[in-house]
Amino acid sequence: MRKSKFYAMALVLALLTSMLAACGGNKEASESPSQSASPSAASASPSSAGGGEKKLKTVAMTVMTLDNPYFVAYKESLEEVAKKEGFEAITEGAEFDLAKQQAQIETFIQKKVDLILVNAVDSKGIAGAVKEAADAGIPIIAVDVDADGGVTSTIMSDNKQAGKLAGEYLVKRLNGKGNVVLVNGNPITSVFDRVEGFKEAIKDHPDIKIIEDQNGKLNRDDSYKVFENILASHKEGTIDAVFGVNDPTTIGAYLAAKAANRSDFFFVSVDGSKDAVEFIKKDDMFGETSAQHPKAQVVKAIELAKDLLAGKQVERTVLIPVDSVSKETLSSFTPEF
Amino acid sequence: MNGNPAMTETGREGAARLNWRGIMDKMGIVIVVLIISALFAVMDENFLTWSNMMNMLRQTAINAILAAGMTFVILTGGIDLSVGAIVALAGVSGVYFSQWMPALPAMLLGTLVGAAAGYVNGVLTAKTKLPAIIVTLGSMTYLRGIAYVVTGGYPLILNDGSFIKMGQGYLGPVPIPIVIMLLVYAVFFVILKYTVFGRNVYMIGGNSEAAFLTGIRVVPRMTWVYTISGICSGIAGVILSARLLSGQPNVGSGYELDAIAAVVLGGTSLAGGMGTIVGSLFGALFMGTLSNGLTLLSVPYYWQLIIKGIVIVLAIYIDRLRQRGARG
Repeated sequence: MRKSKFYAMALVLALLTSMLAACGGNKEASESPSQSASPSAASASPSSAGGGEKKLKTVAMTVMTLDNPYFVAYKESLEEVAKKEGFEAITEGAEFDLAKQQAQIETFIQKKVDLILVNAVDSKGIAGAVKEAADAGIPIIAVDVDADGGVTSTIMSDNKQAGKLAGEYLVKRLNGKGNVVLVNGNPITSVFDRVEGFKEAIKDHPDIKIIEDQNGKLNRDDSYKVFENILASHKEGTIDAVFGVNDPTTIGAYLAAKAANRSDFFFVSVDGSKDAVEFIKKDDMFGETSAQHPKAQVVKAIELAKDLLAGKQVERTVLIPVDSVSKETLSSFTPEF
Repeated sequence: MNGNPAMTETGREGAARLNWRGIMDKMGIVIVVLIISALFAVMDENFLTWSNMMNMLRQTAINAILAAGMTFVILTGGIDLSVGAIVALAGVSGVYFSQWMPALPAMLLGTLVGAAAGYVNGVLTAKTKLPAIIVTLGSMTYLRGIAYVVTGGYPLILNDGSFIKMGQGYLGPVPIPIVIMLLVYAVFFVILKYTVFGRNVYMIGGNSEAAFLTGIRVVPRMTWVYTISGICSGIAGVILSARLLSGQPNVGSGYELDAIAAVVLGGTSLAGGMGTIVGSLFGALFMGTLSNGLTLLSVPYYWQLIIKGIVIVLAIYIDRLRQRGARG
């Protein structure tokens, strides 16, 4: 029995070694041989590297989750740009865990990357990690949502416009009158802005009322359950339209309505994902989604980073416009994710 | 093997005749940590720097402190699924209290909230004889709920400078979370190894009926064990909120599993009665090293999850072999 335990230990090590070799190997080959010779010397002066260089070599990004196609689009866009421009791209998902995201940023700092992109789990809570990066002299750019602590720049969708476009479509289709359910999301700036823009669009129409405001936690699963409950408490004919703050939310609610055989209302959304576009194509009930452009955000971020390295000033906030996608505008739109 | 009072003697015996078995039993995880560190050091120049070591240890501190408390629980044959929720609640409470009072009492009160949550777990587990997994599954849910109710779902922002030091400050060149981690381990190492209470913990885990029959007061002992886990979670929660500059009601989900994994990796048997607290420290170090190193090496994120998952399964497998080995 003792032997088999030793065997198991050996197995762990063998597995780890081979996995590390397999995963880290491809690009390690280009950078580690010259450096690995003196690991102890490196500990003496950890801040010496990367001083006078003016070129992006490594860009690291942490996004709030990688289980939503929208954020996977950030990952893929970054990898695409990296390939074209010849730098190394690292993307990690924080699974909505702020502590995890902070740890990821700290490790990026230790890795001495040239640029950090942060899609903050919590705009305020991430401030500590952002400050650490800034103190280490690494430019840190917020994407999708703003971040406190001294980011160099923030690049995001014009979320207010996104909510507004959804609201305008809804007002038009409702002819200025009806009961609206709001399937809200977690407390982050992008969600606040969308809801604000939406409310702005409907505010001149007193006959449009928000009768429910619930948190679908920005994912399909929770939104499905939340909307099931809303349906149970609002009988047929009492809901006229639904605004979900992103596509996973709206799709979750839409699927719950379908499962309950309810079709007495329609949906508007924000994101412009493939899934939502498919539903818009097939079903009148899925009315509109305000399309975001994650790729344009990443491209812009890299542009800004290059400007920074060249010593230029960059804008503090860059808003990337969104487009309203509905049955009428569908033909001219290709979803990015 | 279980329930034998001589159990507690194995530590000294093992040290006396230093054979391969003894080393694998007590030091297996230490060797694994050393080997994996050496691997990372060779593969990435940034790994073995003072600043990265401090960074890695600071990130490990939370999990390590949770694992210290979890060691007591698992040694009695129990489990505590509520530690992640206690981390959130204690952090939120600490930040909340800091609005009204100086940092030190606020932090102590935050920790005390953790202790109270653990105490309730302990009373329920010991008195009702309900399985710990059910009791703590329940408290995991209601404690998280309380954290949301207290904050209304929004993070509470921390403004107190000395409170923030708890997570971001240094004692000399060493970050304060690491200092606290070492203190926690020093205290609980002594309690576990050199007190009657510590020996009782092992005996309850070995066989709680027998422990009861030999006159150990199982109910108060168990209550203390869960309270200790609550205290550790409370300390971790306070440190984490200082690290994150805010009391986050949604933080810490899944931390219970990381803590359990650290304890099991450290050689403590899930069946109870066998294990050491120092092992848990190295178990946590192993997981911290793995996370840190994999990111430094730019291992793709999805692959990191696969590797970590496999490691945890293997840890349980090793635990099985250990139990079978001890029986045979």
